[in-house]
Amino acid sequence: MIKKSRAYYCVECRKCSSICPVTRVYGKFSPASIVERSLVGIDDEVLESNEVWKCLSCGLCHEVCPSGVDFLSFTREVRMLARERGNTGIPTHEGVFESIEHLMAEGEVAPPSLEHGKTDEDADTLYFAGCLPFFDTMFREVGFNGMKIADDVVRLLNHYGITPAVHYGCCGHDALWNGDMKLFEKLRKKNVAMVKERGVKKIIFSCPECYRTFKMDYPEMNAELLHISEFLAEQKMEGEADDREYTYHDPCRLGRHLGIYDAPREVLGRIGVEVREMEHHHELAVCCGTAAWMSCDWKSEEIRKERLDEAEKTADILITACPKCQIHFKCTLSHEKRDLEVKDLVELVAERIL
Amino acid sequence: MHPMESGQSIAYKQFPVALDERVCSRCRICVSLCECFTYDEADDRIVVNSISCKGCGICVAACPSSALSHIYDDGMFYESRSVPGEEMIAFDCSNCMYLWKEEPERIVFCERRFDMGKALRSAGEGKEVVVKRCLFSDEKIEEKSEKVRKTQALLRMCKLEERLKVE
Repeated sequence: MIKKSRAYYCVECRKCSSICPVTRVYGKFSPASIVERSLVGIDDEVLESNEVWKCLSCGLCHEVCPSGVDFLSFTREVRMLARERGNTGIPTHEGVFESIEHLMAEGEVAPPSLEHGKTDEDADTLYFAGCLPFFDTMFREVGFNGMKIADDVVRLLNHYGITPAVHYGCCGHDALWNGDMKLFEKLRKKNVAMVKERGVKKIIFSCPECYRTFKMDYPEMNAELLHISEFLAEQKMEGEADDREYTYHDPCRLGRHLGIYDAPREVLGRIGVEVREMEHHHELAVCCGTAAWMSCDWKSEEIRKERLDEAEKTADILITACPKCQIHFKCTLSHEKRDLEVKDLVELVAERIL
Repeated sequence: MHPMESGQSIAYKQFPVALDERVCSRCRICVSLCECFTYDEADDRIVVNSISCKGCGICVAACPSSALSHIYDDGMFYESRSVPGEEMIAFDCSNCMYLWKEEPERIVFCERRFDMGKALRSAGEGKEVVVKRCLFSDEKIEEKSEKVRKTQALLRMCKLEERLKVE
């Protein structure tokens, strides 16, 4: 674990702790001190504490680390050890999503029908829609419309001459980041078999987490993988400017984990949207406050509020390319009146060009 | 049979609610549920008035951050003596004492303290999930409990909707 994550190279400069969004609102959490303590020998105190569940795996620390310590893989490994000891953290929403992941690992998802998009189950392009129908059911009350995102993606693909097959299911991202390797392996095998059986050549994602997991954590995946923003960036499109101001929030999985910053901005530019950058953007964008449905508390809320403050100062509409970021921001907006609207990239593109 | 229908006596005990401010996200779901909670705008915190708490546990079941708990004399869930020989984890609700009861084939919830995560997990394990109506409520569950409705929708998508029964 120590070797794999290069923790030995830590020079104790504490740059990570100075930039960590969790440390900023809660000084007792510090990535540097967890690494330092583990170098001496990982102790029970670390593994049994709630500390190991506080990291957002947003990767901001990795951006500034001069020695290239991979705190993300370090966190994953520590969580695996913690889970072995029965320390499973405090999942959000009563552990609903953990239960759903288990259900999806065992059974099939009954595909909900799309309102307008045309699909073809034998197509060689697959749209992997992930958990959108489940999020839709859970978060309608905060104004999140997951099935509309799925429908918009399919309509956009239709517009560019593709009638895709659609698959709903869990990629295993949350299980992996919460140290539940048994569940992750089950889901990985299931998805790899699904792709093989369908014989698809290209897979399109609207969720950066599914995209990251297929791309980086499924070594045997050999289909071409694309995020919808990358697909759209290659297409011809035009739209007209309006008088509202827009900003773009980089989701951590799409940005820092996969290095995709330009494609979404390029798409926005082409439909006539001028992106005004927030105080923190690109590599230094701040996280939406919660990851993998784990530990949502006042710290998460504080981080979200700071991010929304930045957005409110910069623009009228906050565009993001991750359904989970949207859910988290909308949750805060549901009990805090702000002059700000949150939208998914595909929703905006579909509105403008279809 | 519902424990209240068995005619056996049920002991009452007070378990006032406690809030862990370090974990609270200020989402104010508890404020919308019970008069025990108010939101202090100036200090950005939830204020708990424990005196009016009847220990029903609805807020504890609803808190997404697990910041709420009831204070127990023995630091444990209170075990009801109303059904001898059967393990029953219970809160001292002002109405009855039911939280959930786990059996090999099924799990029985009180509608008021329905735990979505546990219900879905149990359904996945092949158990039947039964939701009992609160005996002191006149409303039908379907009209009231958003959680039960959501769980039904989620199970429908997993083709398991027949595992949830509302009685």
